[in-house]
Amino acid sequence: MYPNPNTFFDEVTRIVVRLPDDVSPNPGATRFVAIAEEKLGDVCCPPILLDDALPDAFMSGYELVDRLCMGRAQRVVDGAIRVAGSVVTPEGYLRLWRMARDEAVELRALERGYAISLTFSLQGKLAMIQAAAAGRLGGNEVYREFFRIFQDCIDVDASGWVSIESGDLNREGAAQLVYAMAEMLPRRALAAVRLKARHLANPRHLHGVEPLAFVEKV
Amino acid sequence: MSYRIEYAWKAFVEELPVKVKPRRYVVCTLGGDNNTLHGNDSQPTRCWEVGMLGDESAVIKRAVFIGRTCESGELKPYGRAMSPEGYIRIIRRALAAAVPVSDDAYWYPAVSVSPDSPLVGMAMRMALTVTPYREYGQDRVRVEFDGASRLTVFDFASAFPELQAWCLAKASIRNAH
Repeated sequence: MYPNPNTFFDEVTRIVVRLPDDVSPNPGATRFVAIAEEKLGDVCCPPILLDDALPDAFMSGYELVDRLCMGRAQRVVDGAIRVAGSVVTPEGYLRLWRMARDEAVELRALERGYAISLTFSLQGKLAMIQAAAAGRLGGNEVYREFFRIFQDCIDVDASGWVSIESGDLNREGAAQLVYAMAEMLPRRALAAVRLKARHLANPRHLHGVEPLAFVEKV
Repeated sequence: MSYRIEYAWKAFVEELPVKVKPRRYVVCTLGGDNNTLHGNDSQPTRCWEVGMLGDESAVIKRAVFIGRTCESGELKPYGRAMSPEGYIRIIRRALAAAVPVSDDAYWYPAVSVSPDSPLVGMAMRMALTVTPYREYGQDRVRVEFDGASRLTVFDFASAFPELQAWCLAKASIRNAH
């Protein structure tokens, strides 16, 4: 049974994950991943990433507000997204996210505190990835290190198509390597790195509601 | 760094002949780029243009969208750094002080789009006159309005929310206050 489309998304949690300081080569630019948890009627949706395409999904502080203003904060205006059941102003909504950013959690605390697993996937032609690495200063080192760290979860088929379905970001230096790899790949190329978030269990704060698998990311 | 400065805001209110949410707003902004200067007095140039158009909800949504540029410093209301929240509050205040058009301050529809835009078909279905012309070597189509049909521009604004308001209307304001 599909939910009534006239109902609203009820945002129950805003989680901002602070990535290690060395993720981005720019000094002083802390990067974040933003995740919203919401309910649709009586069912809970999978965690929603504000952006899932890397490297953009690793956002700086102002990019987080930028993404909100381009999407979710506009949907708050006519009540398509509500907070804990209440209609809020976009100003109030942005303030809630700023508070979440100020209380950002570490990557390792995400699973423990919110029962959410944050992983990445990579799909692409091996030759294309190698060419992108060769064309970038230090790219070959990134390529070698990336394939060394994730060698156990890389799948390469006979046609040279590489895929990682669920790469662990908690490995030592993984976030930095994933960012560097995603930044190396040209936009709209036949290769992409994406973030994925999913509930490991029915989380405590959504307890008692039926998990909903078919609600797509908004 | 180059950025836009906005100096003043003025909202016009129009009443549509409908029963549900009849009020429509046209929010005009007086602004210009910080590094585009007048030749004679070296002051930053500024002009009035229509920034938001539609019912209250559509205007606030557009304010949220434009307000995002405040966060990155591309837009500085009054020439100062401001948060998107502050910018939305400015637009809310402008809406609260919205006035009808007058001889000194008014807006008018000025729709100009590419000939393959679906807006052209909609205009023809509404029996509006469309006039092709060329601008900077590009084919364009201008939609002609008269006094009775000028409010139909709000239908275009709601049907094509991706169109910027300054593609749909212009403003002439001699005295901002």
